[in-house]
Amino acid sequence: MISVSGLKKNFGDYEAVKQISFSIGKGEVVALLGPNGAGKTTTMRMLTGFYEPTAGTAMVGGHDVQKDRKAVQSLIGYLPESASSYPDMLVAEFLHFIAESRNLSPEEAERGIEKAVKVTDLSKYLYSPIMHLSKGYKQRVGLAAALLHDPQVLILDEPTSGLDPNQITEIRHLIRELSKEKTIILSTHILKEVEDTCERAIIIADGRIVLDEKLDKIQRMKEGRETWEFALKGNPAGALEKVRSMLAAGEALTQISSSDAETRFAAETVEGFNEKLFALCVAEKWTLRELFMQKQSIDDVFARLTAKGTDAQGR
Amino acid sequence: MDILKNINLDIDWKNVKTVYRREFANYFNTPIGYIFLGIFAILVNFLFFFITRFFDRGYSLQGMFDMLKLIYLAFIPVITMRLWAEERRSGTVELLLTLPYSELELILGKYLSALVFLGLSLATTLFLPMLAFYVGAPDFMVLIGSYLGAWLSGSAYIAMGLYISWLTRDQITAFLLSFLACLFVYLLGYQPVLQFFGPMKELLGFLSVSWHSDSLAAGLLDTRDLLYYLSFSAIFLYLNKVSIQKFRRGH
Repeated sequence: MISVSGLKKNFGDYEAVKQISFSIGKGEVVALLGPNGAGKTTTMRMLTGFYEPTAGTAMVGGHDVQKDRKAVQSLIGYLPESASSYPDMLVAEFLHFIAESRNLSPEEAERGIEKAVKVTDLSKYLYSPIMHLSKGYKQRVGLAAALLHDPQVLILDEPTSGLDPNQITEIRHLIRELSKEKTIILSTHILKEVEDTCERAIIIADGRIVLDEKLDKIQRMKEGRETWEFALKGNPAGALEKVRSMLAAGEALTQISSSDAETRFAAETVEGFNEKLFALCVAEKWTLRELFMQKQSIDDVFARLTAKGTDAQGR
Repeated sequence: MDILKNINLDIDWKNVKTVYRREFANYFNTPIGYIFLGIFAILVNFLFFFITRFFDRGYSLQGMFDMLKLIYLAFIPVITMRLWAEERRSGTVELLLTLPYSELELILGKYLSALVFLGLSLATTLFLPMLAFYVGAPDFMVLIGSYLGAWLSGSAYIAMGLYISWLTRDQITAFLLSFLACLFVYLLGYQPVLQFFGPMKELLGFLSVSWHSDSLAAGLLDTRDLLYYLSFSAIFLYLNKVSIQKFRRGH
């Protein structure tokens, strides 16, 4: 659906985006993560046609952004980071302006606006001047404008910035709903947001991609290792040694606690430990009460990769 | 003439209309439009009687049009200063440039909205010709020509002001630069300045906005004058487009 190759953007001498390539399939929900100034917004602005790339290509829905800008812009619903609506207009007036800008027929416009207003819960404020709305509602107006032409692709730049916690939850819920049908790229530097709404994260630092991975794989990435915690019923004799004997060199097992009711262990292993443990428990007739993996938090991955600075994959 | 068919300017007039309607509404969604029209009307009507000595000059409206030329220097920049500068400042330019519009569609929409607003402003002065007809017998064609000249010369200033508005993010700067630019253009047609240039007088005069409205005001609808105004505006509208493209490319 979206494919970007060798994207580069200079402002005079300043290289905002040095080299970015990625590919996003239909229906994916991808987070663009990165520190401020990394190039996330610039990348999005190149996809939406606001900026022209200095080098490289960007294709959306089969159209080249540089050769066929209007076609690409019709496919995309964009929510920019800053003001995305005219304060002097009424909400309804503004949404009609957007609908006309997108050359929707009057029927399509009515339907699209109605649906967008319902989804963003703006019905109460339809005839309020936008300048009278709170930041959260202004954001919703921008989102409604991005949705009303039912675009296949949504590009959202920091959609929850400046919102209070309740509003943030609502917007995230909305994004999850929309993600069922649409391809979504959202940029954020709130790591929890990524975990809540996206399946894949592209981490950008200093104008390059440092990581492009599905979220569950990131969570398993502790330099290639997994951390498991499990509990056996009772205190079976020799459990510690038997499990340890299953491990390879470099893997580790410790006993956390032991009582008559249950014994807890923690293990640092490579992939596949859970299956081996289960088989062992069946063979030894142990009762496995709990088994869970401690997920690598994306915070750690982010900090590690963006602190490294130039240690990028340069993709 | 086939060449003209091949020049694809990428202008969908429906889009121009959408932008035009939005911009025009903006003049009146806030008090600014009303205040401007009010001040303009009051100023012209008031000054007319005190400055142009209407009653002494045989009921000629020429004084009003001379006065308008000066009033334009301050008032046209007021009309144009917000057109791009405010969008750039507040960030709505990002909205406009990511909607499926071509640069010319946006520029023309804004330009036309200012033109029509100028027309409205001129309409507020219609009381004066009515008065002139009541007390005297002004030449109707001269009157038409004068209003046309006033509107067209205003359109030239608007095209300039619109371009200058794009160059800044601050309405005040846009106003000041536009004011200076309009002043420069006006002075090019102002006799005492022209005399100073001696032999270049004819050429410089021909380039000035006021020169061409003078012949229109004499009641002559010369296509050269119309062409002058169209070219003048076209140049600045084109510069505006080029500037937006340069912005997209990162300069």
